[in-house]
Amino acid sequence: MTDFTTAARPYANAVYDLAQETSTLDSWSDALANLATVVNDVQMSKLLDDPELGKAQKGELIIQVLGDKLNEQQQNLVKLMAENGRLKLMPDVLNQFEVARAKAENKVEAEVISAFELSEQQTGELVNTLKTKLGCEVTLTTTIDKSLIGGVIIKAGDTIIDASMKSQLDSLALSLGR
Amino acid sequence: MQLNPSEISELIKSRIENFDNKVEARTEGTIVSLTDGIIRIHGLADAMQGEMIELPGDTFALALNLERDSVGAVVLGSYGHLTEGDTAKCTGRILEVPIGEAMLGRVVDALGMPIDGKGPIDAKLTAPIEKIAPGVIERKSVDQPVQTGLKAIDAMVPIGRGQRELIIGDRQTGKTAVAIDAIINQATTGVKCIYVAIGQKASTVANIVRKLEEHGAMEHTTIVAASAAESAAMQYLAPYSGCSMGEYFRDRGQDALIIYDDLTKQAWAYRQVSLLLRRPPGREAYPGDVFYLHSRLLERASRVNADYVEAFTNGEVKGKTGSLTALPIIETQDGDVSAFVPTNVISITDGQIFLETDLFNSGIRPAINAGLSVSRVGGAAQTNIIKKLGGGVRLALAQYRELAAFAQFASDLDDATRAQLELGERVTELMKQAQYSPLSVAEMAFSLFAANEGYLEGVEVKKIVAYEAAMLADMKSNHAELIAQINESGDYNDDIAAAMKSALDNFKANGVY
Repeated sequence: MTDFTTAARPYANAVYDLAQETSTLDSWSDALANLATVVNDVQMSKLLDDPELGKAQKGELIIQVLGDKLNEQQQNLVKLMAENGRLKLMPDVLNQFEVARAKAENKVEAEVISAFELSEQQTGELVNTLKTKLGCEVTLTTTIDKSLIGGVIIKAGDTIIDASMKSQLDSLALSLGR
Repeated sequence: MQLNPSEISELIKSRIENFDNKVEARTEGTIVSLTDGIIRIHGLADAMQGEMIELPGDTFALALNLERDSVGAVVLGSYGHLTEGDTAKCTGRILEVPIGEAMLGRVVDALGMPIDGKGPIDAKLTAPIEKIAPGVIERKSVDQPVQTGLKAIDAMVPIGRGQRELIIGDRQTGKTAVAIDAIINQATTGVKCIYVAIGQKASTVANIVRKLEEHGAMEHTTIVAASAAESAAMQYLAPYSGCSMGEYFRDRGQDALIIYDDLTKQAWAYRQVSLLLRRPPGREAYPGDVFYLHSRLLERASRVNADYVEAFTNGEVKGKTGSLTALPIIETQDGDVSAFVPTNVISITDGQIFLETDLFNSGIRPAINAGLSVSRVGGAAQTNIIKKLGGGVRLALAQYRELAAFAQFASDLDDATRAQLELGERVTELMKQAQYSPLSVAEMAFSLFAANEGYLEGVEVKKIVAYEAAMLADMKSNHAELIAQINESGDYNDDIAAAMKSALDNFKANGVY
């Protein structure tokens, strides 16, 4: 996974720079998302591993699947990555592209896991608090996990704020067990 | 032990009342690979070097490699329950161990947790295991002795408080025995001891504990044990933990002695961790920083001045210097002192005590090679009387060795040479000392005095050991006040010389051995 990240970095950086220069961030974002889905597909994955297919053929294959959804530059990216045998890195490229984009636009996607459904007011307050804490725009997605018993867990990038009843009970159990 | 139910409920109640349930923002990552106790974590962008990382199941890891997209960490303890995909959390804490007086008399592991079955340790303080050594301004030169109680060492390679003196030799040459004797001798000096056992058999450690208990030396001693069965990470960390425990005493104006037994095995453990972390191997497959591994550890053994102690204790302890003396042990393979780790540690320390298999096998124990053993700073710290009397012994041994080689070829020797050889033989014999029987300064002084003043000449070489034992017993019973006086002041002058002479003359006339 680590090695994949490292190998994908130059592609992601190049794509991001190009997209920014030509102001086509959204188009690239969609294209990369499509490409990542195609590459991750089980059947496609098998074909990409097929040693009988040439490098160029694999690139053509992907371009054919997506048809006119890719513009010329995006097709060039596929061809280049096919030539270097890096098509499988597409999901990592997408990932890093989105991270770079979010960073530049000062946005962060936060996930809130709660034991009960949160009201509009509660999510609003959470968004505001997180905004001041993290210093950037926050988009919130919420999921419900009854096993937390109470409280919430907020995940924003690497940062975790764990204020759930479950984790507090766990740590109490550990401290009593010592 | 009887369990007291109410007491336990009380305990639980107070623990629940004081339970710290702070909610903190923490960074979290995912374990992406797990190999031989080394984990690679994706995420954790703001992890610190040496930070503790919390893993599931009350396990911790130590972050050692901070890379662009991942963190390489080494699991402390067992890692059987960890799997790829587990979460790893930053704790924001550097690894710490408990320190203080409560550690004395206990056997602990590399993290300071008791392993002697005597219940929890009531240590109020903790200290990070990696600390920067005191700087130039905070130090004081070494001028007080650490008495090991071994004639050969105290007379020829004296050790000062705050010195680093290497004990080096092949396996089975009595390296640990020297160190244990030094600990036993501290029962009366007030020097606190820390014995760090690295990569040894658990049975050996148990033996050492029993021996120390038998000789009443456990009360002033802490044993930090990372036995051969424990993970390489624990063996790598144990010396640093022990050092932090010793620094507690140094920083509070007391004297402490720490023994690292042995640093060869620690270097092996570190090599294992480094290779698994994929750091490039260098000479003998050790990583590039194996010198720094030992130099930063041994730099922490030092003598600090009164200002440092006063500043450290906020003025509570005034006018007292503190010291941490280190006796690292290195095991050589077939006497090869030019291997990588031995040369490193020889160059770091302030001298070395060489123990040799040949000497050991020919019955000279401690098997110290007087020619190769040196102490670069200890001379300034030697007790006055031993310094005056010990000089002759060292010279006699040096000349003896030179002549002994010649004498093998020459059939006809002149009288002066024969006298030299005979004195050398007798001094070699006199330097023998049984294990677990450290001598006081006065006892040592009498033995050395007897050698210097020719009292050994009339004694058969085979009977030197018996002569010494009988002579010392006689001195202790008939000249107790002289012994007490020498032990107290450590001075040597004409009056004391005359008193010793008359005592020995008296023994010569009437003594039986």
